[in-house]
Amino acid sequence: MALTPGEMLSRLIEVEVTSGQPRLSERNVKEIKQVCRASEDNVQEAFRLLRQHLENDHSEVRFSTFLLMKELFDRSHTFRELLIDDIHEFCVLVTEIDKTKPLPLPKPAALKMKELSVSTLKMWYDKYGSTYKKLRLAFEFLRDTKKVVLREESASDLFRPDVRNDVVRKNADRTRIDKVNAEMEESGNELDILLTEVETLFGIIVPEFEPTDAEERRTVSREVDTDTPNLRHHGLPSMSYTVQIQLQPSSLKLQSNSENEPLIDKIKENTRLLNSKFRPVLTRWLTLLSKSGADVTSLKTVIDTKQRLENALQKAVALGISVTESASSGSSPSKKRVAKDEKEEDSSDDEFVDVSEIGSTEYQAQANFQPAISNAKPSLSQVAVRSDEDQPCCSKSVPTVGTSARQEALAAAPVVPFGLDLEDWGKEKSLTSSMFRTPYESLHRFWRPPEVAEGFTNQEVNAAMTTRLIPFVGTFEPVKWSCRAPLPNGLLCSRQDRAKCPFHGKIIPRNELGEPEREEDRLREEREKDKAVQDKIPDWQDPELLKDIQAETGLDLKVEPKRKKKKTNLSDVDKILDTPRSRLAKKILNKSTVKRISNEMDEQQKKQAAEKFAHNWNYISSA
Amino acid sequence: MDPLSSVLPYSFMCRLQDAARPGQPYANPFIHHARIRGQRARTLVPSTYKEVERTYAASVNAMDISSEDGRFLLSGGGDGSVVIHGLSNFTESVKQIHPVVGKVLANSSFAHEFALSACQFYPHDHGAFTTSGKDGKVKVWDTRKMTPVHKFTFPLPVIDHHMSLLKSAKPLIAAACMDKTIRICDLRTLSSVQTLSGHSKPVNCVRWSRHAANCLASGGADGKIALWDVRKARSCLAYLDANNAIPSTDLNANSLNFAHESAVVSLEFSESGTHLVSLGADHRLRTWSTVSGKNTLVNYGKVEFAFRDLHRHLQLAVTSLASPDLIFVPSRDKILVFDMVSGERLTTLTAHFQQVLTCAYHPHFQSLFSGATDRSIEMWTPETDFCDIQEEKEAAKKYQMNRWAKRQACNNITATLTADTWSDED
Repeated sequence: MALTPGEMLSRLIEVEVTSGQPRLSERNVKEIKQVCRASEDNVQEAFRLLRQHLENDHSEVRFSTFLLMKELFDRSHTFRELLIDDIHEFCVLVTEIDKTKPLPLPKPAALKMKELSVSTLKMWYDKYGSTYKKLRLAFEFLRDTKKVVLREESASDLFRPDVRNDVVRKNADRTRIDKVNAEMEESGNELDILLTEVETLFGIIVPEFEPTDAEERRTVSREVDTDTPNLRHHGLPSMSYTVQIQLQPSSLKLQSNSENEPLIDKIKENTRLLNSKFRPVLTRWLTLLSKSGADVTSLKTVIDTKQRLENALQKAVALGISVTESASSGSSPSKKRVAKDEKEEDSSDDEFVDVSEIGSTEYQAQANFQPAISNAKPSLSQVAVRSDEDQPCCSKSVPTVGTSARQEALAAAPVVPFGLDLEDWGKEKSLTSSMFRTPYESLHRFWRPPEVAEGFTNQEVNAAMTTRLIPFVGTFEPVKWSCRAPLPNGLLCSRQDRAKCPFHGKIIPRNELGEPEREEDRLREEREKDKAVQDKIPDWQDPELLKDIQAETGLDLKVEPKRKKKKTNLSDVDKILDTPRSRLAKKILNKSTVKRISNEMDEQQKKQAAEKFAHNWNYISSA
Repeated sequence: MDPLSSVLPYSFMCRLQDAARPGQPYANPFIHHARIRGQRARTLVPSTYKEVERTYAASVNAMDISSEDGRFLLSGGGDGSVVIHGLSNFTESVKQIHPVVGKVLANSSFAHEFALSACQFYPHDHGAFTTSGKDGKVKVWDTRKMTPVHKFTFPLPVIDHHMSLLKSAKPLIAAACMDKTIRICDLRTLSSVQTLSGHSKPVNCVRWSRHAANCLASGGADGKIALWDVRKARSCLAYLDANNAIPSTDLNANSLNFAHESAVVSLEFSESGTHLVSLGADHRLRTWSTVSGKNTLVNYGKVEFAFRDLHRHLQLAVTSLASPDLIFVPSRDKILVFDMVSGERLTTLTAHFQQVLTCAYHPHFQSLFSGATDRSIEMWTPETDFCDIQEEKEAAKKYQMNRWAKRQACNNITATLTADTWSDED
């Protein structure tokens, strides 16, 4: 069904006005404009609707309405005439020229509207003032009588993000870049030396070594270029043969000997340093620089250096040189590093999106690899074994068969957390009573605390200390049946409860349609259903009864069901108004309270006056 | 040069000449055009091309147009300043701004100390005018020098004053005072000659009758309208009653005849003098017959009165030289236009942004001037007003030529018919 233009306008405007956004959605505005363009009547209708919305007691609604009006004002002459004819009221509603009619809450929207409306009026005045007399009058009134401060900037400026914020951000960025540059100057030299060393060392160990990727097989093809006689010597009849040598990473394992050992050691040392210290630093620099928008050259140098470092590390890995620190010592520094990295990430601005570094994951995984055993908690079995080992024994080299059986049994045994009850395990004497005796008993010479029976203990405390609660864990039997009571949507209830469904009560056998199979169940269900129907309207809200009461006494006792609040995008004004102060004021300053308190105070004053009078009499008579 | 020609638009002058009988060019020309003027006055809009120069730094409390020739607009401000605008200097440009020709600044020693409450040109000559202020003074000014010639001082604020427009009337100023009395000041002796007391609360407004030289009407904050004859020893003639009750015999402040349920804030006689229009703080506008002293019971509907202070005077305006009579009533920030006889509300004029305090009707231009708390004087002109003096002149000239040609043709015909037609052949 096609909507009439009026309905369409009403709907569009309603949506736009209740959006609660500081901007209009362009699509809707366009549609509204198109509808208005079609005929003058639509413009008038739009004005009527907008004018209604402009009186809304919510500044966000007014603001959106005002923005819409502004859009249409620029387009339609009819709209301009209508608005200018009504410009006094418009000014009251939008620029707050009448102090007795302040702009409604919320305040930020109201302030924004006021500011924007004044600048808009100025814009309109500049543009249309010569043709529309009343507009001129309105503006002159604002300027001359109301002395409204007119800012020179145009309305669009108000929507620009705050310039001050930009300046602050720029300053922060600059300091960040400067810091990174300083760091680069400081440690860049060392890094460079390290990298060059590693590269030369690689050159010495593996001449003409092409960097390879661990996963990728690289094919190196080389044309054999030799003379024909040479070929003949080798029994090759033609030159067009190509020889393919496949270099596989496994074939590049270095075999250390006395010659290259110091070199390898040096490489190891350097690469470790590069990996643990400089790689994270470089990553950090890179993110910081890219975040804060540094110039391309500095970014490029960092990227180049990082590329060099990655290449070196790759080469080392390809040669089978571990770039991570050894397992024993490597765990803590790497962890520390990660922690440090995180901290630095936190300290920098949160608003940036983290850029993932491509290619670093592989190393990360390697770096974080730790032997699982060293960090695992000692299990009971291990402890038991160790305690065995601790015992003095003449020969413990060969574990007996008995111990292994015991280990198996221990492994199967449940682990129980240590508790107070275990401390006194197997001891006859109860120590608990002594534990509660106060040490300050005889500090005073005369005063003693009330006599406490020797050996008295709180029964409950005692019980808690000597007993242990072990919950029974039986085998879980899954429920194989479901409730299957018929639901209003035609399906059957699919809840799987053991005995009782929270919605449909005790679970009973039912047929395919969900009806109870047993006769008694069926009857019971019917009874319940009848009762539910009866209970739907409470007796005292029976419409018949209420009608009777109204006829008799003229009182309408009908209780309307509470209406749910309509969900809107607007900010809640009630919430703004509902401050502790207002709530207190409601109670304290309410009429009856004030009356009661003033009465009471009057009473007191009277009493005082009477007393004073009596005293007066006393003085006079005594004098 | 004829005084009117300097005031009136050229075409209008031509039309007047056409209407005039031969031999008596200006004999009561206005009567013929009363209906046209009435029609024009119905369709007032904020003037697009004419404006009054903005000078006020305070509200515009009172206004008057020089009644003899309509060449000047006198106005008084809330700060005690007095301004005279010239209305007759037409320029060739499209836009015409009526300039300030005389001004008494608020800080000048001549100005009223507090707000000005009423002002009026001397009815027969714009060489003098009178003002009254909240400082309890009524001043008589020389227009040329813009200095006061004489001042009457009263103990309490003067809320309104008026001089009779009738030529037969004596030069008396009636001043409505805060002290519940009306003081009559004689310009010939420069003294306060008479005190009329009969109101139980401050007098808000006073107007001299337009047909009886010695009679005046006054309205008070007590809701009473009293009619007075200053010649009589017992001056009060009657108290008007809204319900047309039998005129009570006790003609003093104890009278139970009430014209309005709340204060009377404005009074104005119609041009003919047969009716008295009153505005009350009870949101009612009433018209009284001055012949019978009865309420005409015309229903004008509600006219909102927004002030909490009841001791004030709002200046409403009635048309003159136009038919039917229209009333311009300030109400809040609007001016309501009523037909005086039928009570129909014709239009509502909205251009002011705050309370309108005063209206003045210009009978020759059929335009209205209004002053308000928003410090502006607005000019309202008929919708069909000419905008360009040059165009106007050309159109008028064309019109005149046309008429002249027709008359010429007519004359030719009569000449041929009335001529003797003797023939030589006879």
